[in-house]
Amino acid sequence: MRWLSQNWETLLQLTASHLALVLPSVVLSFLIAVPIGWAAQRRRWARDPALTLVGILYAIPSLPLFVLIPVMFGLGLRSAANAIIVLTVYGTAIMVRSAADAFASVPEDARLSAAAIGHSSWQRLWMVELPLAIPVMVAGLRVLVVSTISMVTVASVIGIQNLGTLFTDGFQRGIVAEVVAGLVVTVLLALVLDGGCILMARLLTPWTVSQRRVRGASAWT
Amino acid sequence: MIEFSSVFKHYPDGTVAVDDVSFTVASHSTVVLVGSSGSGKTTLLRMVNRMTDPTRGRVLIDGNDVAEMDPVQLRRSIGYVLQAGGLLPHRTVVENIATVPRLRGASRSVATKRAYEVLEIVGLDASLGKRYPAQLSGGQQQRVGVARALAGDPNILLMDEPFGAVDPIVRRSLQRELRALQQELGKTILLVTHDIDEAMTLADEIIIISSGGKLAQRGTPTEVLTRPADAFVAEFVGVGQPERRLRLREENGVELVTDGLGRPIGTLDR
Amino acid sequence: MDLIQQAFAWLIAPTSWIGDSGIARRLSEHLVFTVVVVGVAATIALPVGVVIGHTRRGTTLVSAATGAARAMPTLGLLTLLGLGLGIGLVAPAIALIVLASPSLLAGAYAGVQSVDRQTVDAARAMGMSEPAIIRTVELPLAAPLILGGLRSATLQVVATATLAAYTSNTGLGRYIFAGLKGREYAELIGGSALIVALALLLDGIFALVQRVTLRDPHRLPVTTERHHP
Repeated sequence: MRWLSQNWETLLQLTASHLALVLPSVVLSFLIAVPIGWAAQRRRWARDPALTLVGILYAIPSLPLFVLIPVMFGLGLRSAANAIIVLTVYGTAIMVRSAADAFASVPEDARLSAAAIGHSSWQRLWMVELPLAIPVMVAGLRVLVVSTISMVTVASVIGIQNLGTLFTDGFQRGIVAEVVAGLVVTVLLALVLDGGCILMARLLTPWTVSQRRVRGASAWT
Repeated sequence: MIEFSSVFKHYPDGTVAVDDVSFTVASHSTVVLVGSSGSGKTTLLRMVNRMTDPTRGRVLIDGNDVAEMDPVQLRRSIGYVLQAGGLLPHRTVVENIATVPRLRGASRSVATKRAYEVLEIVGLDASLGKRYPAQLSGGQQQRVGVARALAGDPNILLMDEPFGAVDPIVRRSLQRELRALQQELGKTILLVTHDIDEAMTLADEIIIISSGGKLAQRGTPTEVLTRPADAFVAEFVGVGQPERRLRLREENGVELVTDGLGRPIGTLDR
Repeated sequence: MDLIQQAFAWLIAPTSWIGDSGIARRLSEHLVFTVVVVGVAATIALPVGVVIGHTRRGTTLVSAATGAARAMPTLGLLTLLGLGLGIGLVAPAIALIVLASPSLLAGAYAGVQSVDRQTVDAARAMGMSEPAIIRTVELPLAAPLILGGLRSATLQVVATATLAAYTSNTGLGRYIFAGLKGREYAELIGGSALIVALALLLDGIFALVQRVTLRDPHRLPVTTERHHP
């Protein structure tokens, strides 16, 4: 506790840097993964290449990637761009599968009926498939957010500042409280953002709440 | 008027779904396509709004080949009722019904107003409007499906097993309501069912499709029952079955109608 | 590009491969460490997962464990245990066992749980004992998902074993940390490439094993339903 009272400013600053790496990576991963996931689900030719690529990306350990990406892209080893690219690679790998599952979860009836009453294919995608894919998509987003928050700490060993810096600094100087503070804050941050995802899903999908209510009620009829 | 002219549908794997079918659906009449499952009747229905295109032959609406029309615009001009209503689960009842007017460019308020109008036409309370489909009973969902098809005030209604997902009692009352509705609105209706009794109840003209997608017979319910074209139709309609061989006998001073096995069906109304 | 050439030169130089911190030594350390950690984790987690899947009791434990393992930063656990237990191999081994177990647990649970209840019911109705049901019905049917769990746990351990070099003198991760500290870029990049290659190789082997086991002749082919009537 004493460490905390003396270092809360550092903690806040590192939390901010942490989020500055996590948020762009999550947004980028999501934006890249959703179209790929859609194609993997709806276009037969895209399925195998997309899922194989995603599997390979996911198999690559993160630490060496933090070293190799700057060499390949000519970036600074300790640049934020390096961390964001690496995290986006993993995030995309996680999210593509979820997005494909999400589009697979859209009932065939709804797709058919949307076409039958005159939605163009774009309208069907935006007005029917995407909204109906939200519940499964958010389940994937939650995994993405929590994993990214945890994974970014690895970047601290190559000198990129974030909450992981508390681990490296605490370890080198032998301050247990600092490492514990880092663990607690990282996990708390994950819990908070995860809760945010759940809340967002509730707001975006009012019909699932009503289905829950109906299912609960059906026990009485 | 809808006209099917020598229509074929073959699939790449060699299956023949529709084999040289021609018939017309007169304006303001109800024509029912009936046949066993897999007979290609739904395929025929879906050719009208181009959910499926024929391999050969033409489908014409009021003399215009649908193949030359834009499928999306065509679908917006035709009402389509699917099994279980085919409602979009993420939209409320009113939003579902307002879909077609909205797609056609109506403002939200105009479309909503129209939605409440048709909700009343199909006999549903306005208070259901804000519910989601999952919160409705099967019969209510089906009515909303009909309401959605009517919302764009189309001339043509396509109905694919519209009452297939509800229990027999609800189905009866929905069939009765559809007939009453049709008396009032005079749409051109093409309906698909596998239930010959439903066909008898609803049709001005029945078209019986045999397996393999061939047209076996077309005619009024009376014609189909009294002059079946072949053994398949006779079997399908159940001409020789006890259910169709009705008898009259007197019980307790009342003229009782029974089926061929003597089980009571109703009383005679002279 | 010069850096890549240097890294390649370092990788193929015979002198890089021999000695106490040579590639051969580091690679075998990395592999042995991975096998031991996955082995211990599997011994603990697989039976627990199978029992939970069979009895359907304790399913919240599975989701809680996978969620916690996902949220828990590996580096944090490594450094915390490193401070408590010193810079030997014990601290990283414990950390990695803790983090690898949930994937194995989830795989075993999901595998057994996915077996059709009717099949299990039929086996019970024929008079099979519960252990016999697990052994002869549930485990064979659950094998693909258990193998999937083993695959992700192994890949995870290979990756985190790299990080373990931060608190102990072991494995291929040493090249990264030594390279960073001494600005030995050839070693840094070459070592990184080696780790990536190792992970992809192991992933490929698992993919192959999965493909062979899935080609079990007793398994029915998946048929897709024709959409048109």
